[in-house]
Amino acid sequence: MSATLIGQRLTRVDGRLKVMGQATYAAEFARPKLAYGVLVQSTIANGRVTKIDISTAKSAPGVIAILTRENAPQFKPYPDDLTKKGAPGEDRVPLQDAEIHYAGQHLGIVVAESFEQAVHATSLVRVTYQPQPPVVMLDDERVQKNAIWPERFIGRESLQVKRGDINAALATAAHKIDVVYSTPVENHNPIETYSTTAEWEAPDRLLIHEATRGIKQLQRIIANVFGLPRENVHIICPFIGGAFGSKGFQWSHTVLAAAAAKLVQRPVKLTFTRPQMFDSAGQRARTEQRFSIGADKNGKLMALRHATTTHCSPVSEYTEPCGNMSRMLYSCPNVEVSHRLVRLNLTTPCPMRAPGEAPGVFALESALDELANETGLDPVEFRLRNYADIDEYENRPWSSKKLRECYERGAKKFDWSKRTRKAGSLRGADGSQIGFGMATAIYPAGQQKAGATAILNKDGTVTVRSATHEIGTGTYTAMSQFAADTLGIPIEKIRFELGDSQFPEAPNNGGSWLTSSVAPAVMGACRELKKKVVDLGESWPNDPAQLANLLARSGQEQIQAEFISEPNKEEREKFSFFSYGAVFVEVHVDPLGQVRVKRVILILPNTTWRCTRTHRNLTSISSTS
Amino acid sequence: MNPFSYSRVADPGEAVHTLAGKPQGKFLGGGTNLIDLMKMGVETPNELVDINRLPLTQIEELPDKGVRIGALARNSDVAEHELIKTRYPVLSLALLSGASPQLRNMATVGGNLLQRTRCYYFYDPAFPACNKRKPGSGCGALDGYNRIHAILGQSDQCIATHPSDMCVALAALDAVVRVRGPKGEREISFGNFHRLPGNTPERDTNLAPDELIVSVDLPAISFAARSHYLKVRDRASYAFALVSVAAALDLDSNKVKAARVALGGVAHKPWRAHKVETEINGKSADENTFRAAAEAELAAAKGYKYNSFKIELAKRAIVCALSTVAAMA
Amino acid sequence: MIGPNLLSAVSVEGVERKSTAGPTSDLVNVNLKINGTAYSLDVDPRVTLLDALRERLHLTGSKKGCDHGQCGACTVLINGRRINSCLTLAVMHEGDEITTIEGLANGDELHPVQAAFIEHDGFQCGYCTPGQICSAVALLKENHANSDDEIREWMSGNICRCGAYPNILAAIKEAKTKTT
Repeated sequence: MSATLIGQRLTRVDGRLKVMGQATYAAEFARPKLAYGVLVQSTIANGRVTKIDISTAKSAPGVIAILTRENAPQFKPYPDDLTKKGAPGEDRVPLQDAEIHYAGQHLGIVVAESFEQAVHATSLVRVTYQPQPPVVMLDDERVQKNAIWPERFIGRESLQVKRGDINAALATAAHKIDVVYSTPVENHNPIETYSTTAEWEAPDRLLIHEATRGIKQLQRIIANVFGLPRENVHIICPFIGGAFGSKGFQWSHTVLAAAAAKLVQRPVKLTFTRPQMFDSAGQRARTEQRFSIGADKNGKLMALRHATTTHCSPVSEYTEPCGNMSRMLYSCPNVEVSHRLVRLNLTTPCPMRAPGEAPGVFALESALDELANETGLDPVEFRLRNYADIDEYENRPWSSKKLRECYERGAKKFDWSKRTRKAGSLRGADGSQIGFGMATAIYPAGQQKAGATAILNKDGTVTVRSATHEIGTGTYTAMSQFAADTLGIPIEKIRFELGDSQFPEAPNNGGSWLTSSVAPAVMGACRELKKKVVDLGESWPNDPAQLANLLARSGQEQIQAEFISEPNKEEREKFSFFSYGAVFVEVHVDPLGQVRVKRVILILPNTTWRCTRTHRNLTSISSTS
Repeated sequence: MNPFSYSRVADPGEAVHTLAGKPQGKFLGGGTNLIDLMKMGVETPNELVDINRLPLTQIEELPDKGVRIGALARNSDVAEHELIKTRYPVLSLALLSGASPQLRNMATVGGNLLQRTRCYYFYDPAFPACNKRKPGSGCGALDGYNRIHAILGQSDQCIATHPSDMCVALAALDAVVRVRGPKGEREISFGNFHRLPGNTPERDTNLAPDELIVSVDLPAISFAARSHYLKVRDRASYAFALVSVAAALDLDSNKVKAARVALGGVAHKPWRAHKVETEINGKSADENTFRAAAEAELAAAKGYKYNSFKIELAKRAIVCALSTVAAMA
Repeated sequence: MIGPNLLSAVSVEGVERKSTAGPTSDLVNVNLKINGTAYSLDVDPRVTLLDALRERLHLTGSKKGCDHGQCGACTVLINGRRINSCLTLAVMHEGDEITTIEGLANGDELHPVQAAFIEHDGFQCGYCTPGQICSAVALLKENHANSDDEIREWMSGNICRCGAYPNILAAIKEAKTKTT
């Protein structure tokens, strides 16, 4: 691959659309005879619905129909692999029973001619409940005896791990700490809320404009629920206004919008309010993480126990996997990682930006600092003494690991040596307490199966397609670059298209694997396209004008090539794949208790970035005061 | 949002006449709070009278060297007005610390006076208990998540706080609110404009439902030019105050001749800190004096499960704000 | 609607909603001048300016992020001043000149703030971007872009959930050199 574009300061190929207000998000597709849907939601958190009285609401101005359990069709269940065994989807389709599991649960949808009329009519729906006391706190005694010890995270990583003899090692450790960290519920809150516009193009064909970062998954879900062939469900989503882990696992609103559209025989748009983003869009669960860690007199870790308690909702068993990095981030002979799950009457949790790693590594790194302090060692030195040269959990070498160099470069750049050890010993002129802190950054380097199509058009341009997503990370730009580089033609001659379920398979946008998964498919499709041209007895000309001539000579309308890329299974089994970095921060706390982060430095290994402008955006952290 | 009828009026008399005897009607100014509350289903007027075109946007000097601010002057215009910036910097700073530039361009002075609390239990009708929203229903905040709630002057009926920054400065400045009702005009001193909750938390102010705020008059206070507004909040910008302090000092060398101090974020109304003012009067303007006065002001404070931190925070904020003013040239 | 996750969840028999089926909102005529074009609309007075733009006129560049004046994605200019179009009713703007993101460019030529946002990559997902840009255009006119801290403070009404703030700041600083 010639590296003509990779690493260059390109501007985003979709930048002009975005600054002109022309990028079209899910709620912005004009549809003929559009009607507006608004959700009816539970105002209690636990119990049963005894009655939904729609008599006043249905006669309110503009109301077309109201869908509740009374008149809902029978939906088929969601696929087991997306809802069972720790998967984040709810194991329950809407409107099929009277049970209430959490506040805000969807009880119906009101459809009216205008948004304003639908909102007002929804306020006229009278719901009567038979309430039960809800359980919403992790330590509530009522749910302890039914706690779950989940085996795996979404059917993948083990959530209960033991290595060595943790109790013996703790008993003999020269230094040890026993600490608990808790993290609150966090909501993703992308700035674009969820939105679905569903319309039936034929009695068995459904078109959905949806804010989703799981186009193919949503297609499968909706096809399943309505008993349609998968190809009869068409999902479109060219732009997503942020996701952060949301927009992937909640489907009830899509099902309700589609069912409502069927009922009124018109396209129905359902857009979440901001408050609904707190009760209908998933969330990161609250966690309580207990660490028992011991080190020998030289500061070598001897025992690490990381016990997490977190929660799921009554209709899912998804676990926030806090302990996964504790298995292998540092070298330690005796390790115990556990996860315990209680069912609470809270919105169903789901992955949120670095599920597990974010709260888990925060806690692990904080605990490590406390143990470093206990042993009298500098936090960087403490980490270096416990550097893991191999993945001790998988017992495999790293695919690559340059963490040591990140610590060293970061410490130097930050002036870490100016840190004073005693808490509260560094003061600013305004009386602020000044703290220096550092932590290790780690994230799995994943890859998934993905496909792409490359099409040589009459005008010499090339269209590349994959059913992937643009959440703002620069997919349009990056994939255009990969295609242009592979084909040796200017990026302006590439049109990369995504966000359409009719395009070749691509994975959910998550796990930081989009580029590593889709780029090989894009490059593969482009190589295949070149090969097809060569097979015609032509050489690939690297010139769009000549490409147009070439296509004319071939007598074909277009030349199309496809490629499906898969992770290298052999390599994946041989090595352990993670990305690493080191973070250094300076924090001030003034006499009023106001916290200001003055400096943040993130050191990543030297590498080639696909587009330095976008990369700077994705990793830049400002110094604010 | 409930259906409502809408009309525009051209003069204050017409405005008052249009809403006379209609308790379910409301005047519509900037709309930044009222429309939000209507979206939440907290406010449900059946008639809105749009007063945005009334000629009440003046900011002008009064014969006694005070300043009159028309009820429809936008928050941003007041904050940036030369008379306000030079004579009452505390008011300009308070305004600029509130909301966002967009909201300040919309929000009116009269509307700011009538802002309603941001207590979560008031703002979300899905919570059944709120004496302010539904008298007699209880108070969800008392035993709920009460981090932003009151520590002074509250009752067991309501522990909500008044959200305005501007009003904290106006309380310190002894402003006068001029209002017009069906029977004509009257003046309400600022201290009597907002109410403590007592047994009637549903009433935020002593303004009658059919009265229209016409202007806010600032008396001439020579030392108000030496004033400051300190706001402590969870974010560096665009957040309501956890605690705020409006302070002005008249100093004779280092002795306090007169002081004006008011607190925000601590009570159901902007809290004039009379005890602080009395305590420091005649004393030397130093940290010890300020701390002792702050202790006196907060002696009667009462915290709840999540907001007790405000008591110490308020004391420190008083000391910090007064020290800042004392250090001014 | 259910508000943010609070520690105590509600539990009552048959929560009463305040609303009652009352009179219908009669349509009100309003004349708006948007990006230089005059529009005469008969609207339900409940329609916010934002919903009038997005749902009636299909000017979807102005975004609905929170619908409560808290995120700034709906920022437009009314008679040159920036406001949140979600917290104002369309009927309140009889005769007003409204400029939205769609009205900033001069044909194909981008407004300097738009061009600077591309050059400095002042966005990721792009959803807050029209509001950021409209807000920044007003900010420059208000002369509140004289230091990094001042820009941050006076742009605080526009949230970027992706966190492109450093690049937004850089874009505004560059646009300032080109517009003043």
